Amino acid sequence: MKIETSEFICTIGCVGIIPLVLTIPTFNAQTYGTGAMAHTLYSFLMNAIILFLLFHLYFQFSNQDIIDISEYVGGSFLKILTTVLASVYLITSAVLVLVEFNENIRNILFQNAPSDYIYLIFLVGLVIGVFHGLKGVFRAATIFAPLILMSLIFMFLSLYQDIDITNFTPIFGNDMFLFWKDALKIEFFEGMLLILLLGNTLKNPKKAAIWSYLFIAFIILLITVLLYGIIPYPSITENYFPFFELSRLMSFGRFWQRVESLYTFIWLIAVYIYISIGTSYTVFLLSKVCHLNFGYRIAPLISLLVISLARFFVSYPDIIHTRKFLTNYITPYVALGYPLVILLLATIKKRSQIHETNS
Amino acid sequence: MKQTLNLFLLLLLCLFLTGCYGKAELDDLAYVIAMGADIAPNGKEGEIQITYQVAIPLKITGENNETGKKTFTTYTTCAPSLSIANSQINTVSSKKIDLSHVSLILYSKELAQKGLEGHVNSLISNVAIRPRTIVAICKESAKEFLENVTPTLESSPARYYDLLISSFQETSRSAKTEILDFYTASQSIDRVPIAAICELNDHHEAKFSSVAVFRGLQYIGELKESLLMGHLLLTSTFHKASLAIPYPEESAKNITITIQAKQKPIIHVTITNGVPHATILLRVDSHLDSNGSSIDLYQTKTMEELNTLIEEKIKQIVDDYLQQTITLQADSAGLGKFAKKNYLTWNAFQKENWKEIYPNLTYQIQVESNLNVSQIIHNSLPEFPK
Repeated sequence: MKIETSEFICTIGCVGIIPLVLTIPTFNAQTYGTGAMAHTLYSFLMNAIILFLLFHLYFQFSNQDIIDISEYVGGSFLKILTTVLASVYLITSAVLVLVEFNENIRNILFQNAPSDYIYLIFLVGLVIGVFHGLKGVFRAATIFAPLILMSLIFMFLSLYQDIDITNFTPIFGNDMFLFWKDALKIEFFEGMLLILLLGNTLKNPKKAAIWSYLFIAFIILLITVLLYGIIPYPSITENYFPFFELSRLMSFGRFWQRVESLYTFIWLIAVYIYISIGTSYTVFLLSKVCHLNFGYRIAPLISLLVISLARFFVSYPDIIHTRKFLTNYITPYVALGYPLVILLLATIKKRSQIHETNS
Repeated sequence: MKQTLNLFLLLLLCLFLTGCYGKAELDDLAYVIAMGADIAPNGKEGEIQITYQVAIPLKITGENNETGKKTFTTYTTCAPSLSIANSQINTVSSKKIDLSHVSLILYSKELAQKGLEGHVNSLISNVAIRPRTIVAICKESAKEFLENVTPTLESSPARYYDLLISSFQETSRSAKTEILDFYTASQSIDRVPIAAICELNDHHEAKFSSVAVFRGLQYIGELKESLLMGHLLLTSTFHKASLAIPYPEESAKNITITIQAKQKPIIHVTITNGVPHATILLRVDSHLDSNGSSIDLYQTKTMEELNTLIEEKIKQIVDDYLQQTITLQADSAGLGKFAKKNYLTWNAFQKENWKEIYPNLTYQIQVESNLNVSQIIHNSLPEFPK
């Protein structure tokens, strides 16, 4: 199984819009105020530097994924630890995206439906997605990514006249120290870190890394300019689903109305891809580490696990707090810091080995 | 086997996609096209009187369509909140109230003077109500307005409101005040919210003219209709307006000019020792519509003179508008957002206390008009011998 670069970029694009659709823009507005836009641009730069460093280290270990590299650094213990961390993180992300989206979709579309009913829709879709394996999910994303991109560009063209650039000022927002301190917003680019888990499955990881970064950055720029430019601070902090609010602002006279239905469908597809990717990767990792010949057989179990864990969240404020906690305290360390440390250690070990061989 | 399973799962998914939850038969819904809020006549604290103007689809479409009051009916109830009012109306209306087609939200002036806290928030958080819905203040009671409004030329009342409010683009006598903008301005520290003012004329036709100014969500006054052009010019929402300019040499005769926005205004605002100062540059295109005088406007000198007169006239309108906002102590043009640009942090700007220092505003207005006199017939009417 080989994943084409274009398939990967498309999938990352689909995955990349999830943080934008959900509550992360609201968190940013709460933290940085009017500086949220400038901070997004600043974090682009800082993310580019850190991701360049990370992938520069990673590309020295061609044909190996982060699990193999962990094994190289710390033997079976580190291999299992990395697998567990990656699996837990992927499942947690999938669960949180699912519950958050479930709550939001119930507010706007299925107002009378019980949450179990929504989960059932996702469960069926999830099982189909995971049964098709990683390749299947990547291929599905290739179909939907152009649609998502076009719809976002369409949204931008429809609403750019409403953008008020004075909403981006004062440029440093609530606190200058906070602005400079929180340089990394890795949650926007977390999809790119899947490259580390793919290893030699990805055809051209270097090209995939560069283009997926540019693709996600473009999407983020498009949406954040609209979000922060149209809904000014402090009003934006009150809306936990600002992206939906944006789509409701689109108006094309009386003949073509309520375009948000199209965007709701797109978000649904993106969420399907996000949770399918998370679950498929978990199945993939467990199959690899536990040497399962028929890994897909555990797919329904993992899917059920995701849905069951999602059922634990019953209060929307709890969901928001958990998401905030994951974004601020887990993602930077687990998704970025941990692989960086592993790669640094692996590089040191490799260099010392080369040095020993040479001497 | 795998394909059969996939097919089965896909078919299963289809069953869920169109569930019965939230289903709404179009025939079972009563589409509200306008809502009005007044102070509750029973005087009960915390309650307001809500009037729903509901479309009668049979009278709007088809061969037997009508215009005027026959196209809608109204329901009125007193309730502490919108959702409770909806429930109360649903007990008397055979069809379920649906707010997804609301085009106009009206508040009576009396209620607005008391403050709209709690009302606007509930409308904003209601997903059925569009963020671009017009919010307006009614000089009389909102109930009376909604019961008596008579759209003469339009069978669809929703379209009637849409078209009527959009006429500000031609007249510059009102402003399009959407509920999202109204709400965000009420939360801002650099501007105040405004809402269009509407009333019924002698023929019971709605008229949108001028705007009401708020501080927070409390009505504090209204702007003169004739100065609205100044507001539209400063807020980049100006489209077109006609001006009558008396020519100095023949003051009894007017020259009619159509003004169009050439580009967005260039505004710089600085604050020095608690005194804000604004420099405003407005660029407009002017087109000569009719020349009531006998002056030949193709003469370069005359054109320049006329252009200067136009610039002076616009400057005067903007000046009068700003003076009125200073009197009201309310930055309805949102000049504060231009002052905000000069600060690095929100707190630094907040310390300036824009809303408090706004009455100290000093300003300098510059208008650049580009006069076009083409297509005008000059000297076509020789003066009649007396």
